[in-house]
Amino acid sequence: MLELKQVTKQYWKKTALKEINLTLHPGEIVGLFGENGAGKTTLMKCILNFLPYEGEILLDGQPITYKNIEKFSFATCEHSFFPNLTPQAHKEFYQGQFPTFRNKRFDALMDFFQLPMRQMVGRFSTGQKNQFEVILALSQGADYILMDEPFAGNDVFNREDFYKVLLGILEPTETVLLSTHLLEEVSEFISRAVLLHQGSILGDVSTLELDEQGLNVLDYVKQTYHYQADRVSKALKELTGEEE
Amino acid sequence: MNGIARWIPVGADPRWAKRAILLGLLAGFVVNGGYLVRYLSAREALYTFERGVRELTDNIIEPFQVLLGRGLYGCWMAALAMVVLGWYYWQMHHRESKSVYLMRRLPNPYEYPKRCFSLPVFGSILFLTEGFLLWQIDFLIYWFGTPSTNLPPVSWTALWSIW
Repeated sequence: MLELKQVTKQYWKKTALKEINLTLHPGEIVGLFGENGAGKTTLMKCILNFLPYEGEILLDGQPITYKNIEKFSFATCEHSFFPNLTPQAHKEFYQGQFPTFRNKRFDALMDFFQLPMRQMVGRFSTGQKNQFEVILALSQGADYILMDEPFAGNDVFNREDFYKVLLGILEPTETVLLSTHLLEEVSEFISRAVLLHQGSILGDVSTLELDEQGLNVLDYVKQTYHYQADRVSKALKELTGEEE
Repeated sequence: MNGIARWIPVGADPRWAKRAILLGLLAGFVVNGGYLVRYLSAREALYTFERGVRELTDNIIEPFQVLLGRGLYGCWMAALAMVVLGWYYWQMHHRESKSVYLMRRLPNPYEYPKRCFSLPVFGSILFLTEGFLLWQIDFLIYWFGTPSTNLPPVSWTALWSIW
């Protein structure tokens, strides 16, 4: 279980995260939503100890150090692979570093996405790079898979395929924290939605609860953010009026 | 992955790394060659040629530190260049991708600094050692290559004067 207790992160005078309390249970697929600058990436970087923060982040009751960091994998739109290395060489490096590396899953996903094993990753297209980044995160053998906008640049077919594969391969103990703007696309696939707004948690709901209320994730997000449906028509009216 | 590849960033070219070290060593030797040229010239100046006969004068050879001049700068510069190499290797994890995110997630916390700084530290030690050895050799050449009557009276202290 991953627990965040009163986690606060400040960049100079700007508060990026404000007293975040969040618990992720094994097996959950959590969608992390929020506007640009809401704190999604910062939250993930704090979990991974890339950034100093105030508060406490515990994995199974223990602080996150090099002793348990291998229980986390990270797929980011910034990419964390080695551009001068082939997938084959990545596989060998991961095997050497992570004893829990899932060879079979890696091979199967490489095969599924038809990525070349012996071409430098730096020469892949953006979509292929994203796919490879996610493949590495899923194959590391981590219990907690953090994904930060992993599909930026992938086409919709690619993404859909990926969600299906992901649902098919994840084991019950694997937890996914997925940050994305693609609300509608992932709404069928996540089990919980966490909404961040200006560094605070604005909403936290399971899709089961939403089903009971007859809502979908998109409705919930709009409701929580107090989305004004008539905002566009009002603005257009004003603009048209000005022109007249 | 074997040999030097385990001590440099993942994806860095081991042949390039070897060449950089060899180039540093070579720079140390080449720049030190200037001392030998200056020394041989100064020693030659101790002799005169009269009627085809080479005769030793009673002139005193220039002090060691003067002849050495910048003869060890090649080694010092190569050692300093290792700081740049360390920075370059560290930067490699931020170029084209953020592989630093992977390196910082490894169960072995020393893997990342090991791959960034092992070769630069090794190179620095190697070039400083080279500089030290060349300094000793240069002095031995000065001491034993110069006729004792032409050595300055304070030659031994000259050895340390470069520091």
